Parts: sequence; structure tokens; C-alpha cells
Amino acid sequence: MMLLSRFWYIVLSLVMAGALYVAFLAVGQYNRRNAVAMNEELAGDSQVVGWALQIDSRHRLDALLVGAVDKGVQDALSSANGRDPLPRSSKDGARRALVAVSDKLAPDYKEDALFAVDRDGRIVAQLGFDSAADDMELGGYPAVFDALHGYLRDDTWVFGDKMYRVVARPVELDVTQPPVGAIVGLKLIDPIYAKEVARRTRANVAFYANGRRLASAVQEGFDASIMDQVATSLPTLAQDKAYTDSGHSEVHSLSDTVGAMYARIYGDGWDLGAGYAVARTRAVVAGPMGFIAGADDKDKANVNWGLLVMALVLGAAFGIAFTFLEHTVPLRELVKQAASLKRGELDFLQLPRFRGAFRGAAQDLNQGLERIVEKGGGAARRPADLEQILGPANAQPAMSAFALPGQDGQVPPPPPARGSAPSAHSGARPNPAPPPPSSAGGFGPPPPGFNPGPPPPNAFNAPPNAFSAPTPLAQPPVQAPAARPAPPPPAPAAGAKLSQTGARPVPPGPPPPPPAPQRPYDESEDEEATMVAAIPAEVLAAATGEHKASEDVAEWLSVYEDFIRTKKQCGEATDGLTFDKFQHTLKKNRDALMQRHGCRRVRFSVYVKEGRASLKATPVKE
Amino acid sequence: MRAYPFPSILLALTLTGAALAGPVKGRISGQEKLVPDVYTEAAKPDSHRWIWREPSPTVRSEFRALSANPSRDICIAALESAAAPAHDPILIKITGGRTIPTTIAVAPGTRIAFENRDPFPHQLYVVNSTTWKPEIINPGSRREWSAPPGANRFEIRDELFPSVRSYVVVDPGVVDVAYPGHDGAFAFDKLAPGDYVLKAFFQGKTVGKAVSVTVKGNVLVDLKDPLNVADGAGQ
Repeated sequence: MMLLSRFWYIVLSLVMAGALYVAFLAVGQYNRRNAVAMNEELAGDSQVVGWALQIDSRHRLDALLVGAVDKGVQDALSSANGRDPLPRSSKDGARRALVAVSDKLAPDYKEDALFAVDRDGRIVAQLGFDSAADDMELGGYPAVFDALHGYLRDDTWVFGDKMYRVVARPVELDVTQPPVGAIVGLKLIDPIYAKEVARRTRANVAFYANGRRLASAVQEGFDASIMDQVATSLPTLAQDKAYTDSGHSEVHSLSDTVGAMYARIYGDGWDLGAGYAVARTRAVVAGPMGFIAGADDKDKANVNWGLLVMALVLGAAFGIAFTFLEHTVPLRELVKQAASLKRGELDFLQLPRFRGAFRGAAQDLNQGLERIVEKGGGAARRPADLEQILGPANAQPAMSAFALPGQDGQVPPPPPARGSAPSAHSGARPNPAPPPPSSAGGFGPPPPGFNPGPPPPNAFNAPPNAFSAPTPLAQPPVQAPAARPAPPPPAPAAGAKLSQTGARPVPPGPPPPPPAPQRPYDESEDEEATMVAAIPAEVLAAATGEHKASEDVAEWLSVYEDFIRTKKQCGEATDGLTFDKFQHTLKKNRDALMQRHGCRRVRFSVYVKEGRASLKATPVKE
Repeated sequence: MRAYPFPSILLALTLTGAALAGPVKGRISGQEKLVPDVYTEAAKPDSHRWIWREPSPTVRSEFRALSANPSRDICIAALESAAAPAHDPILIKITGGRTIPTTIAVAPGTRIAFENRDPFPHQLYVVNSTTWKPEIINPGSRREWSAPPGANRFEIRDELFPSVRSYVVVDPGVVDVAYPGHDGAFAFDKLAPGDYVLKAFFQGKTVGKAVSVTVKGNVLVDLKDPLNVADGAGQ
């Protein structure tokens, strides 16, 4: 039936479908987990950048102490207070002092601009920031205002398209007096500063203000052009409640694979839309194949190749084995038997060596061969049409020719079919009689009205399939015995002798071998044993004749040899099937048929039915 | 934005006590108790205006009290009973995170020019005004505003600098204004003979009690009692 290979295909398909299902689930879970991971990483990056700015301010605020205690700065601011306009000497002294202070600052905390501011907030001198006007002031900024009142303070200023991180400290000359001024340091947030922050935080960071990106820096491998998209989400930040409330936004998508989180920056810039954004790339797998495309050497190295190879080998091995067993082996057997058929070593294909569709095909071929032989004038290996020969017989339940009759002379019902259902073609037969069960044991289809006698005590009990009747398809379709009335068979006269038809030369064979001592037949001993009918004593007495017996024995020996050979060709066991048993069975059946149909002799022939050797009994009226 | 058309600009008693010589001089007191709201708000932790804000350990606590800068934040105005004519145009500088001064009192019809002295733009506007909306003032440029008729108070802010909060008090009786120095001294040197009331304004509101003064020719009027601006602050 070739079920294994088909089942294997189903198994493989289920496994493949299951693998694809798992892969698609994995894609979804992978992308979702990556999105969550990216959000968490962005929150972490945003926090880290905030801490970096905080630490940077602290360090710069502390570093500015050298300016707060610088004597030159103190003196210059002290001399400038209350003077309008500012004295030139104060300006010059303050500038020289700022240069000295700047030189003392550590490179990491060197300011881009330094201012010395008097107590009114006027700029006495500045270093850097050369665009400042002469009368520019800083005292109105809260950071400077606080510094002038004795506080250390940081801030973020947005001057046009520039943003500065600011630190301011008071400058004291006399502890018994208010501060004489303040020193203010500005750090421009430019690509250099952004790069330094990115280096410290290992984050992709961009600073923005007034709706524009001012500076950005990315890590190696990150597409810097993506940071240009940071400004695109700025107009929508006002609707981000988390951003307006806590200062940290939700994750915004800069592209399909890049997310960004915005954070407001502390200082005056808080209310000016200033802040920084961190961005990260999210690994996205478009489909199951994306796992292969995105895998690196390490991923591939982590694959359990042993398991994969084992699955591959086992899958292939099972598939090949199943197809070998279900396709290659029977095909090879068919080829082999076809070759034997061609060489004449076989007359028919040996059906038991086939299975499934091959057996059906071989059986069809055998039947085709029989049909060809029949058309060519040869003797088809099928039972004779007893009705045609003997005329119509009494209606008889379908049974085997050699089925065991009951004690009352009626034929017991045949055993149930084994391995074969009633032929579907039976309905096409013109014979109105119900089709016989296909599994009836015996020597072919029984003639109508056949009613063998009771079985002998030691009947050669055969299994149901032994000596099975030919299938209805084996019978020529032209047969229509029911349509042609035939005379009832003459009743055999008691003591009438059966003469040999001479159809077969009777070899002057030896006297029949002494009957072997009979023993109870074990059904399991030989499944191919036939079912026999009991031989009435009077028939047996009438049929006995030494000359005739020797002819029958010679013919039966030939049939026996043919039967044994056929059984072997069909791959059936022949152990225990001795000639004694064989001829005893034939004799009983012959006698029963002769008595029943009044024929002079019965011819036995061997044929193959459903891959098993069977016998046909053909009554001869001559 | 257009250039300011006036060749001469009046800014009365700008900044320091250097111009105290005049017919009326006096002092204020209690100014250390006046703190501009913008700095009070900025000092709060929830203002998000700073990461670090801590007192300098070397500055004594009495000096760490936030207080207004009298020369910028406290305006002393001389008012007469009759309606005063419009003043000459007044220039107010925008620099240092604020305007200078932050509070001024003018008569109706007075034109005020806000000049940007910073090297970056400002964007001033009058709060709740439908006519003087935010407009860019580039470095070195000015934007003019005229005091409307009637008594009123206007608050001016900067969209680009949250620390900018300026106040213009329009009063028909305002004749002149003066700004005290750090020591609280102030002076009016151009008051014509007559009766005046001196009022102090802080953040657009009157602070302290009004003081009546009579100017007679060039006779110096020296106010013996200082104007306590801390008294009744916020009225």
C-alpha cells in the first residue's frame, strides 16, 4: 500500500510546517523583544547621558574654583564695581586674570568662554565669545544672579542657534562683604562636545534646541545620517505627556529600525525646547529567512550541527528506506520476475512476492497472460465451466468445490474471507446466482448443485485460503450458464466404474504407494492443505480399480509435483504436504464429484489465485 | 524690524548713583527683601533650571539672600497731579538675560525702544497683547512700543529667554523716573518746580509708601526718611 513513504511525507510536511510556524512565531517574538530591549536601552542611554551632563557640570563647577579665588579676578571686579563706565584698567586686569585661570583649567574642563562679571552683572572681561558687545551684561540670567548672591550654579543657555552649558561661581574678596562679582564659564555644545559625551556614555546622542538639531555624535557602526531625523519628532514632543511632565519622552521612531528617546535639558533651555536625544538601532527580522541573513559566524558556530546532521540523516534515511521498501524492492522484484517470465522460467508472476499496487498489477498481468493464452488457443489455467459441461445444477450456496459437507449432506457455509473482500466485479456477471465467497477453500469454484458427502474423520483440513477458488474475474465473461438450460446431471449408478478419458496418457506407474498412516492434521502445520469432503464408502468401493488407480496416481503425481512447484514459486511453504496426503485428498474429492455429477473422471490442474497455489477440479463426462 | 529713528534717547538716571546731584534726592530701604519672581522661581528645584545649585561655603549666609538689583529692578517715579505730557523716547537695552531696566513708569504716549545689545536675537512681546506679538529683534536692532492712553501695567517677556520679564507702568502723572544705586540712593535733577508724589515700582507694582515732595526752583530737596520699598510690597 506504500503507506510508510506516504506517512513519512506527511510527517516531513508536518515537521516542516511546524518549523515554519515556530519560525514565524520566533520572528514576532524576536522583534517584539528587541523593541522592548531597545526601549529599555534608550531609557538607560538617556539616563546615562543625563548623568554625564551632571558629572560634567560638577567637574567644571569645581574646576572654576581657580577663577573664583584668583587674585587678579578679585581685584579687577572689586575695582570695577560702582564705576560707570567700567575702568579700562579693570577690564584689562580681568582679562589677564581670565587667561591665567583658563590656563590652569584641566583640558577636559577647559571652557569655551570665561566671563568676569561685576556685582551688577556687567561683563568686565571675557575670554572667548568675542562677539559680545562692550556693554553686554550677564546679570539677568538666573545662574549669574545666583552666583552674585553666593551660589554655585549651573545652567543651559540657548543663544540663537547655539547652546551652552554654563557654570558660575561667586568671586569673593572679603568674607565680611558680599561677593564682588562672579566668574562664569560657558561650554559650547557642538559636535566636539557631543562626541565627548558619546564617548563617555557609549550612546548615540544629539542635542537640539529651538526645533533644530545642534550637534550629534554616534558610535561606530551607527548611521550618522539617521540623527538628522532627530528634529522631525521635535514638533510632536509637545503632545508627549511623559516629555512635558518628566522631561523624558516615550520612544519615537526615526525609521523602521531606529528609535529615539528625547530628554529635556536642565537650565533655561528646559523651557526653550532644548534637550538631547539618544538613538538606537533595533534589530528587526523581516521573516524566518532573516535569521539566516543576520547570523554571524558566532551564531553559526553555536548551532548544534550534530543534531542537525542527525536529523538530516535520519530524515533522509527513513525516507529512502521507506521508498526502497515500498518502491524499489517490489519494482526490482517485478523486473526480476519479468526477466524470468521472458526466459520461460516462469509462466506467471509470483504474486506473493508483491505487495500493494504491485501485487494488483502482477495479478492483472497474470490474468492478461491467461487471456492471451486463451485467445491463442491454449488452455487457460482456469476451471472449466461445469455448468456448460454438466448442464444446470441445483441452486447451491456459494461454496468451494471441496468444501466440507455437513452430516446431513448439506454444505456448510464457507469460512469467512481472509484478506479479500467479495469481488466488486461480481455484480457484472450474468450469472444470477449469488457470487461465491472469494475466500472459499477448495479446488476452484464448485459446480452448481454440488453436494459432497460428509467429511472423513481425518479430513485434510485446509485453511480457508488453501485451494481457493479463482476469482470471478478469472472466469471468462462469455459464460452465462444460467441463461442456457442444461439437463440435470445424471445420477451416478452405484458401482459404475469411472473410465479414464485418455486426455492424458496414463503412465504405467507403480502401484499407488501405501497410504501413509494418517494422523490428526494440524492446521498450522500446512496452511496450504485443502478442505476435503468425506468419501462415501459405496462411492469409494465403486471407484476403486487397480488399473484406474494406477492411472490416477500417475496423473496425481504430476499434479502434485506441479502443485509443489507452484507453491514454491509463490513462496509458500510445502513442508508436511506429502503425496500421500495430497492423493488422499484428490481421491476423496474425485469420488465425490463423480458421484455427484456422474462424470467418468475428474481432472485436476494447478493454478495461482491471489498469489497462492490452488487446485481446480474439472469433471470430465467422456 | 526697523531702525530706531530718534537721534537722541532718554533713559532717566540710568543705572548708578553717579547722577544723584539734583533738586530731589533720597534713599530707599528694604530693597534686600525684594526678589524678582523669575529668580525665585528659578531657584526652586522643580523649575528644572539647574542641576547644581548650592551655596558657596565661603560666602556668609546673610550675603546669600537673593535680592533685587535696585539699579535695574526698582523704579522711583515722580508723579504730578496733572496729566504729564509724553516723554521723550526711551531706550531700554536687552542684554544679560533681562532688559535694563526691568521696570519703568511712563506717561501715556511715550515711545519705548527695546534695543538688542546681545550678539543673538531676542523675541519680545507684551503679555496678553494682540498687537505687540512676539517678533524677532536681531542683534543691534530695536523694536518700538508706544504707551497707550490711560493708566495701565504691561508685562513684557522674551520668547527666547525666559528670564526676561519687564514691566511698563503707564500713568498719566509720571513726570520722571530714577533708579537707585546699590546703596539705595536716588536723585531727580530735572524736576520742574511743583508738587510731586514719589512712588517706587517693582515688577510693575507699587512698593513702599508714596512720598510727597515740593520742588522750589533749584533748592535741593533731601528726603530725610528713606522710602521703605519693603513696606507694602506687592500692592
